[in-house]
Amino acid sequence: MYRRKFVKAVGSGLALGTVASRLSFAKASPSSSHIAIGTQAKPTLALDGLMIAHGDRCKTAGLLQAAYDHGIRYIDTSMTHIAGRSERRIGRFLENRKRDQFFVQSRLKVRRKEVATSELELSLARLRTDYLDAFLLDTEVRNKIDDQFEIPDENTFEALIEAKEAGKIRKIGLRGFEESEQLDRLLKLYGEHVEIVMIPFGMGDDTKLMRQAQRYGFDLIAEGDRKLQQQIFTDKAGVDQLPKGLSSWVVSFTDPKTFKDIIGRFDELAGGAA
Amino acid sequence: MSLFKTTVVSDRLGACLPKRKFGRADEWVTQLGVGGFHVGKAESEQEAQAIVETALEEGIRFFDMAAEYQDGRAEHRYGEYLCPKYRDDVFLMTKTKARTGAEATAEIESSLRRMRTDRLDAILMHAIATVDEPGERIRDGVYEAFLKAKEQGKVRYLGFSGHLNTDANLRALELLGDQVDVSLMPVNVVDPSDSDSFVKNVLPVMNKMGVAPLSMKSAAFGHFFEKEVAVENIAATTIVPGRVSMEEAFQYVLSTPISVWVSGMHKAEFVKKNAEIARNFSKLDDQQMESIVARVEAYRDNVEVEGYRKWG
Repeated sequence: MYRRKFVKAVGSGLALGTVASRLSFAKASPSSSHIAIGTQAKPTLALDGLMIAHGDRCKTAGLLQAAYDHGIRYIDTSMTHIAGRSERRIGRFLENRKRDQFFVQSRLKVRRKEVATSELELSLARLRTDYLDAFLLDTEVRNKIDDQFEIPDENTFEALIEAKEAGKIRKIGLRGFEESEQLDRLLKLYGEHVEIVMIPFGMGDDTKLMRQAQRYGFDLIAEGDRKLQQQIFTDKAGVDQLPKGLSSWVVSFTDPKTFKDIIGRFDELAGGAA
Repeated sequence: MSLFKTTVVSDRLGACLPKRKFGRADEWVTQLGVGGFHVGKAESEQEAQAIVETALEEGIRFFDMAAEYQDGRAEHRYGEYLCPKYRDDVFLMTKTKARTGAEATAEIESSLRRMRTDRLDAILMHAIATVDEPGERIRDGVYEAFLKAKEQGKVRYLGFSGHLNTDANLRALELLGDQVDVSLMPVNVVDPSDSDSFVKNVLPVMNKMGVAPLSMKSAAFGHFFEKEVAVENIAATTIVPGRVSMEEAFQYVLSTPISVWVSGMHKAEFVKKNAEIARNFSKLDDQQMESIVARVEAYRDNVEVEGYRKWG
């Protein structure tokens, strides 16, 4: 009933804030729980923070609230999602809520260690928090607009190790791409410190990656391939084709009305994978 | 003092382009500046380096930048090719989209580190978009953080940029008063015909306040060159060179009472061309300016041309 009321409020553009805050009280214990990184046997869902940066502020606040109401507490964002807008909006959402009920993950793309250190402070400021649950370094600095990319200095990852020691990050990790040369290089250097590796969804079955995950003891999580997600959540992909090695999937929710179906379908698939 | 009074100086790198007064401040800046976005846009590291070095050879000493350009790649390039060798020779400005004081402080630090320097000449609140935004950013501590950075010697001049609507810029000027030293806004041949003209509505206010006016979008982010726009039964053509020549378009900009024409140049050859225009510039008279504006009046209030009017 609450959910229906909420969706109605979003649809008619009424006083969102009031309804939403009442709701968060009403739904203190979510029925389905995606609070942190799961396991291969029981993966969890994370919210794709890029979607929070698209469109106007009220609409995306509704998206965050809907995710919350459906038990999703794992939020993935990046410092460069619309030049920090995603982090800022998530920060406003987190500000008046109990911080420790969320697993907040951000990522950065920089080329030098000293910049990584100051960028973490910037990420914390935007997210209005004094710690991140996870912070990942892109293994390559890529730009969506063109094909140029650069390789970060080898010691950049040490900024994350130091920030973890200082209590500013709980878990540190890397984000890799289809071409895994840089990921391999960094794992050789810092593998013992790497707790999370984020990869494109289609690589969730990569046997080398799964071996590396076992050897270094990191969790493998996948970012949403937006097309593939559509197929998965509309029954078009067979369960047997789904990646087996993932502990979490970052899913690009865009419409509060679809949350229930997507989460239901995911739990079904995740159960099946187990 | 008129902003058109220029001074020609040389420094250790050679002859500088003519310098103009930086608003009310006791500071002179070259009348052409390098726009930071296009340094980041340049197709390779080599081209970015060539842009910076050509600019210095051609006498440009003003370098614009922003933290968000290409997710930091543009700032990183100044850190590679400009600041390590030439920091003391140039005026360096960057911008932040920070919405809170804590964010502004952190982002200034990141900008300094990316550009490998310990000080900026100017920091701007980046792209004020709505009439409420200046008040919100100030209320949430952004300008306070700027003032603190100034006290700490990390920056000398403070201001803002805006290219969406003149009310937003005017509101920021009103709220900040004599705490604003510098502001960056669109100036081009189409703007004076717009119903919401920066040249007509904002520039005179800045001149009166002694705020250093910096111009951007002199070719509407390249749209004057690239977009073949059809209007009012006129056959589709580009504004440059279809309606006005490149020289006319840029001489017009330099003939308005601005301090620096900040130009986006993603190839070293464009730097040479624009530097030549700035070097040989002599002010157009009112009649010449009016004639240029009249030739492109039909393109007024057209976001296909002035694409920057819709970026949020």
